[in-house]
Amino acid sequence: MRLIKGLVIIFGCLLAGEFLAGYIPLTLPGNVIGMVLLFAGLSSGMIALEDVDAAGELFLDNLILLFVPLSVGIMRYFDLLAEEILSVVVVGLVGYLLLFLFSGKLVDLLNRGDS
Amino acid sequence: MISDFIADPVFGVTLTLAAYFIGIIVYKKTGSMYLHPMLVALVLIAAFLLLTGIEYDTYNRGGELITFLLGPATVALAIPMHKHQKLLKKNAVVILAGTAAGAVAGVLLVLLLGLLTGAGHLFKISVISKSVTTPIAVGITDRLGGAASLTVVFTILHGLVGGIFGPRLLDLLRVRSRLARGLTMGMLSHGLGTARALEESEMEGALAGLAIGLMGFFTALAAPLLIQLIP
Repeated sequence: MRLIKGLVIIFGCLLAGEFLAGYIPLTLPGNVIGMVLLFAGLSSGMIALEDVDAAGELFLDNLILLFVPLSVGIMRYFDLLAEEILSVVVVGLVGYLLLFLFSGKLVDLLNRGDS
Repeated sequence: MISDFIADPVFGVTLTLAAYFIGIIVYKKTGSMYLHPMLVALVLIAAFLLLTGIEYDTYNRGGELITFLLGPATVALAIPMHKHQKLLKKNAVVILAGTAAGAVAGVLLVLLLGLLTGAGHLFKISVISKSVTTPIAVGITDRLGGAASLTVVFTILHGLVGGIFGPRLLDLLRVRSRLARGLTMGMLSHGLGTARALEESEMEGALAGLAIGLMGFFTALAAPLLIQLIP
């Protein structure tokens, strides 16, 4: 019963998000708008945490399973990856390290300034 | 006959579940971070399809039923964020400014490094959200018209690198506060970084969890705008 109620709320937020995505001037994906709506609902007390907790766990506890079919689709992009091998290494690895350096140092500095 | 059987979505769903199940067993038995269940499942399914000559599209009739669930899963990310709201309010400036700047920097790095290496448009828009948690990253890629399969593999690899080397990198950078460490782990390596941050301390895990949702939100805002500036 509570699980179904939670699913109704989560899918309701998703549906509202998908709908709003076509109307708001920002290019936010519908699922992200749905996440913001649920967050706003929980924070304002309009939605009770106990109502969505079990349904949320259903998705989040097995989140990695949900990526598997898309990841298999990489087999269609082997040619593209081979062509873009330089970008794969530079954008992937060098980009990662630079972003880590930037974010780590920035957050550390912000934190020192704040406290 | 056999082709009818394979074309049934039940085939793709069962293959996915079975491969993922094996992936979890391998991961638990070996305890190796490198043998991530998604990577094991990916290799098993891809090998199976290549050996049998079954097309990806045929497999994906079942696969897309599972992919569909990424939509509600993204919405559900609001729940852990809500649970850590106190932490968010207490450190609002650092968390909001940090994740917003990190999201913009992540997008800019992909675009600028991509420009440098002459990366194609499809590649760039598919990996632009690679620091973001996978369900949100897929939403961003779909919205931009990219290839979600590339997004998924890059985001998982990003998560793995951070999950394995993140704490050591933070030590090298001499980032010591729990707040900064937790946030950085979540910003850079989303779910897998969060799992690792949780091993360090509960507070770091909670911060990483917050960073995931915010990083996703800010990247979703920034990516479509910045991509128009740096084509």
